[in-house]
Amino acid sequence: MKLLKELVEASGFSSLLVLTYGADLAWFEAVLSRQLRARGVHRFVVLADPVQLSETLEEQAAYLTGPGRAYSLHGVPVDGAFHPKAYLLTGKTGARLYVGSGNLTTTGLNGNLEIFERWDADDSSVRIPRAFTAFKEYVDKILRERLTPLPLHLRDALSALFDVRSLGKPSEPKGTELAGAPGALWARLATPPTPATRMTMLAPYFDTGGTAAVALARRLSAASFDVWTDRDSTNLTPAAIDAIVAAGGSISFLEDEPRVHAKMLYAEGAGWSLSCTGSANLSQAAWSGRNAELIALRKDAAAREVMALLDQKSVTPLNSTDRDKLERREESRLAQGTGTAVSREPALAILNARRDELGESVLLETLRGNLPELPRSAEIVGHPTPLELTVIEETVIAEASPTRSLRFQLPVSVAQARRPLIIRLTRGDEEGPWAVVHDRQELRLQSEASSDDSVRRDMLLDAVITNPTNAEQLMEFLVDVHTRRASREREEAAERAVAPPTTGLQDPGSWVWVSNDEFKQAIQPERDELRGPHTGETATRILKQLLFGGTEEEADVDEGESDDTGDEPISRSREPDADDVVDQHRQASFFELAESARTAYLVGLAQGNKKGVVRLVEDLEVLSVTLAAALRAGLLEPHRFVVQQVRMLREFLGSDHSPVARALSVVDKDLRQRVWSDVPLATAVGLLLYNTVLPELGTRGDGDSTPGLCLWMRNVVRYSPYERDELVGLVERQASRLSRGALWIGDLWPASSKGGSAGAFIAKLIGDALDVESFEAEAKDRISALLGCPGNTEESDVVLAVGRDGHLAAGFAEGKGKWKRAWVQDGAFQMVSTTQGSKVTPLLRVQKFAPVSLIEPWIGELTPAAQRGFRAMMRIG
Amino acid sequence: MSVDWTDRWQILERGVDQLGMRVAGERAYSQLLDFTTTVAWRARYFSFLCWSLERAFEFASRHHDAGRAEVNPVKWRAAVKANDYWFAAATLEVNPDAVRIAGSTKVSAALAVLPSEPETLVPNPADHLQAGTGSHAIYAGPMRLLGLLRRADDIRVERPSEGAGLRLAKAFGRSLSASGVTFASDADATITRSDLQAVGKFCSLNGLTPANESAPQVLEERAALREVILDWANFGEGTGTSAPRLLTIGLVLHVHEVTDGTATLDDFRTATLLDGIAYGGETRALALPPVYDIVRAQWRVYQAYAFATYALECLLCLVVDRALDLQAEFGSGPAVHGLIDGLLSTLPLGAETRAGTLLDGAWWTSSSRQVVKDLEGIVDLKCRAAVAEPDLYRGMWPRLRGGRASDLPGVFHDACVLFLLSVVRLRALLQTSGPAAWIGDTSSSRLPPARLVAAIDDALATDSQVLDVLRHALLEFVIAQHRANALRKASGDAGRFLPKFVTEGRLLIPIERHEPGTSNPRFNNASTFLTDLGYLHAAPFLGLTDDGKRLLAEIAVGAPS
Repeated sequence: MKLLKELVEASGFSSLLVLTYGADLAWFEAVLSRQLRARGVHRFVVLADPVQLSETLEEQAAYLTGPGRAYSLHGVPVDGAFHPKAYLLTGKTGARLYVGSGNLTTTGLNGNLEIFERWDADDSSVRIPRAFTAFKEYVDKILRERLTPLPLHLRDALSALFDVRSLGKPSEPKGTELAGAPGALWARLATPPTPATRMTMLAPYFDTGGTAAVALARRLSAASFDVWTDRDSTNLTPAAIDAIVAAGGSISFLEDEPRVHAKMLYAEGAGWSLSCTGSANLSQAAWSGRNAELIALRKDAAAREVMALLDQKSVTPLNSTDRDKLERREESRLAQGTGTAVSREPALAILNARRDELGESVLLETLRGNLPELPRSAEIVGHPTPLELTVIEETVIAEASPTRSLRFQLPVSVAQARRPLIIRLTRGDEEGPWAVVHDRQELRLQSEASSDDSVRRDMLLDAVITNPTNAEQLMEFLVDVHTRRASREREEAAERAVAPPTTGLQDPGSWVWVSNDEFKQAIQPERDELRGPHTGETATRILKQLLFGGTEEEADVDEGESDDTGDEPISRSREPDADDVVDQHRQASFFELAESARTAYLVGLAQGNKKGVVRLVEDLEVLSVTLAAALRAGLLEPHRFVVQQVRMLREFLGSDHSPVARALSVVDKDLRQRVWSDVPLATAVGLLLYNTVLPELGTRGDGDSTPGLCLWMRNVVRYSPYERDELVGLVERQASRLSRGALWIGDLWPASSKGGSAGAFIAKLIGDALDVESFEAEAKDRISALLGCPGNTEESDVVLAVGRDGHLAAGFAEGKGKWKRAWVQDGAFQMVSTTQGSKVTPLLRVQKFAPVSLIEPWIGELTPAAQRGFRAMMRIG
Repeated sequence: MSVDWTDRWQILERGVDQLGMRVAGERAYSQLLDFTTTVAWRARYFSFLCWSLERAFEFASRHHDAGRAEVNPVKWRAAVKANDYWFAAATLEVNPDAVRIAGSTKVSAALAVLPSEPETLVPNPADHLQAGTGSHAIYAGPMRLLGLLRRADDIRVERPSEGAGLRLAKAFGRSLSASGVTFASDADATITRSDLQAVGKFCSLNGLTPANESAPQVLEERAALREVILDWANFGEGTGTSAPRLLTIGLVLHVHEVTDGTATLDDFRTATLLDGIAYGGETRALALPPVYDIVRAQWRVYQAYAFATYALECLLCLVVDRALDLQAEFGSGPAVHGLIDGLLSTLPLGAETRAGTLLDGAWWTSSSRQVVKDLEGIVDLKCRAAVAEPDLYRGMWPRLRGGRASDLPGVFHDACVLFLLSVVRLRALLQTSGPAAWIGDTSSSRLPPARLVAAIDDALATDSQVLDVLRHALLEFVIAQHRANALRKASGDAGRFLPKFVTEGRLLIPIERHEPGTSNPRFNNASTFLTDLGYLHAAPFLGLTDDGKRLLAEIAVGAPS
């Protein structure tokens, strides 16, 4: 069983619950959870031994990003160690459970010799293996007894984990049983009808006297028995060896194996056989009830499968050299003082810490132990000095037992930091164990995320994207994103029982160019795909993160606060200028690769694969952030960045046929108000357009020098439910926070972007666009009647016409007599510059146009907004 | 069976850059030596591949009326690979001992079993390399950097660029014409051994050899290759885009000149770091004109960083080595802090090594200001120093073979000294030449020079004990860095988690030994290229040819004669 491979390749699941003794959290975050997220798992709960967890948090806290925010992480206090090892994956249509001996570490899942049993449940079966039911009961019981009251976020997660269709079926009457501790585990081994004639026990760890091994042999009436262990890591003491041998046992070591960490027992007698596999070592703590353990019990023929596993292994009996070595090891251990019992009931332990709904204070619940005086200070990872707690309230939960709850205010810098809160209480020289503060709201958002959201998260966290060093890295990233998208598309297609797309998205290696005509012919998305609360929420979060570096609410509070996240900042020291020597070859390379990536996305769009607003925004995000990152890293010169950005915008919103406009157009009018109030669409598009002119803005003045941009913006604001002033005011308010977001590149041109020029620019752009729309609404019919009446137009006179998307375009006349033509900008196919070998004209040549001289006489009849729109068109012309 | 033992998810590849620093350094020298990679050795592949790609394109494409071509990528790839096989075979046919020919092992074996008669037909299984386009996959990187390739309309297909690429393709085509053999870009085509020999005589991939110089077409092809690689048009008096390349070529030639053609990679490291080299019983300083100053500063910083990389990799090796010992003793991995304290406690035992002569007494207990001052004195001596980083490096690697320390205290002591000396030198170099002298990766996650130097600056600010500096280096630059690097590699592929140790709670669990190393600045590749181009004599003594001497003089004055 290649357990790690099975886990990361599992599909169809949305939640993972892990019970473990130790956890390598840095690995879990960077590798396992990340890859599971890419496969659709977005809810994670890890329950671990509190002592081990505290040590791990102390060692790894600086590297962690997710505990309490992206996944739930709790220590479960029991009298001994919390020692079960189980992995439960659940989803809408299936569930899978592993119970065994491996911890949530790289060695536990892909290094040691471990043993696991696996059960699956799916829609096709009438009953589910009884292990699922037993496992749920075990988890319920241990949490009810040991983690009371159950934290709300944990209740949310566990409900979602277990309340799935695939587990809502009756259990099979037979099959492997699960036995859990605390509680005397050995009592679950029924006294056999006849003495055991064969008995083999395997474990790396023993109690110092070998008591458990001997007791188990006696329980099963084994006159002789085998004890197998790992030569390199066992803690078997000479005293334990003597006791085992005296009871009829013989000790052997497994040969030619990695570190042996499996724990199992097999016994058989006349007419019976049984096996145990799981977490229990051969120690009293494991079998007599102090530890929390979980084992799988099999009988008869099923147990003999375990025997067959044992028979696969070769062993070597313990000899005198081994014994000497174990003696020396025990002496060294005693001399070093290892093995000292760790207090399992520290006075300052926090069982549950959570942020309040506003994120401003922390509620510490169920502080256990004898606390005559409550702690007044705490340490928080990443915060240089201990915090004096400003206690808001204290609650004694139960007078009978000294269990208390404490709420305290977090300093603003800590409360707003976008990193996990890992905390421990201190009182004088006393220090409690580390615990994670959970944010229920954030956890809920994370767990509701779609698998595509992993793309966004990775993009914002991935070192490649925040600090790329070459174009190939970026390309790899884009290919990775593309592959994930393809996978997601296929899954969705399968869910809809519709055949997946046949080209393009399935294989990044088969990208093809898409012509503009093909692009325009994309299938109209289905209306239902484009609306709905979930879609709106995700799009909102994405855009807010992009624009403001977090949720809007956070941005409000964060204004002016120093960034205390500890995250590595994106280098802002590089300010491109004319003297900047950039490697042309690498630029060219990136240019090509970006083209390829863009094409890949266009294939997806052209195939009309029912992309909704979320997908479009995500695509826009992936490409925009990648380009911005390349610019920051010096992989793209500013002009090349602009070319790429313009091309991308052109495809997304260059005309009324483009995907963003299409998606917006099908949002029902009664829903528009809500969508537009939640999603900062106009600001996002405005910022992307602003970025295209920023490199030149400092030398060219304000947005008037690029009036054509409003022809793009109109494809978005056309669907706005707001009045002009309302929308402009909204954008101006949002613009003040743009510098926090991943799309902000204004810091590279401080001279151009100073003094809130972004806000003013975007507001003007939106104003112009809305004015142009007003003008078109009021005047298009009259202008259409004038088309083909060139009148006395002179060369270079401004004219109006209808563009390729059916909307008004502005330009100038050319030629004389019957050769008279006009060149107009219709906003759909403007190009900033031409590239090698592919000259594309920025303007549309038309034969039918209306000269301004025929329009001006009646402009005064229009509304002020339409008149402003006319003037904007004149500037474009 | 639903109950089972766990198996490891087998990983075939083994990473070498365990701290992520080798790549950081590679990005520096790859900008100076951009015409070769660690696996790209032969200059003639540039012209051959330009010819081959274009021939394959013609072979696999169908032309439309409008002048547009529709290419079949599968057919194109097969033709490129077939060409690759034919020319490897032609090369080995005339020179069975030719080295650095892509796929030579399989091609040689295939030729060896064929009858030797001239009329024997040679089959072309095109199975000599795994890559779908053969050596193109190896050489495409530098060829793109040199502007020799462009994408066809179908982006899966690559063609020679309109200017330089096609020029090289034609030049190679003329050399091929001289052989009198008509060549079909098709694996199904047949060719006899005698034809292969004729082709090999003019078009050996290791050639542009002296024997072929008699053929004017080959000399013209070589001239075209020289023109492309040297790219005088963009030299810009030492500040243009081709200047780093040309000046590095000059540097390589000069190191060979100073050592009478005997220079090794170690000599190149020493010469670029210390501005001179011990040769023939004397110390010979590099004597190069000011036009070289910027590039030399970049090489110095790269080289100092390469030694810092080696020092930290040695410390990683020793951490794992010691942890394995402790695990065997105690049955479990050691606590991280205990392990580090234990290693530091061995410093007095290791101070009798040659590195011990660099610093006085129990230097590790001294203040960092004092030790940094002492090391700065050594740095100032440059090539006159009795012991410097290259000496420490040479002394250490035999004692760490297979990732096992033969003398742990001694080699740990030396690794600590090497780390401190190389970082103090980095600090001095960056102060003198400015931060722009580092042109490698600046990502903090790869421990660039700025992060290493900051550790020394912090120590100087507080005048902390050197022992604390070393403790910090072990914790942050070795243990934390290795973990972070391994996780970074695994983040896209769980199966690629290949750490040398993991930490569980406070314990460090060793997994596999680490054999330390550092980035290799392609000196030997560059020398082979320059030999192929006729600037150096062939091995064993890579002395400068007349053309090589002329080129050196031209670079000094900044223009071709």
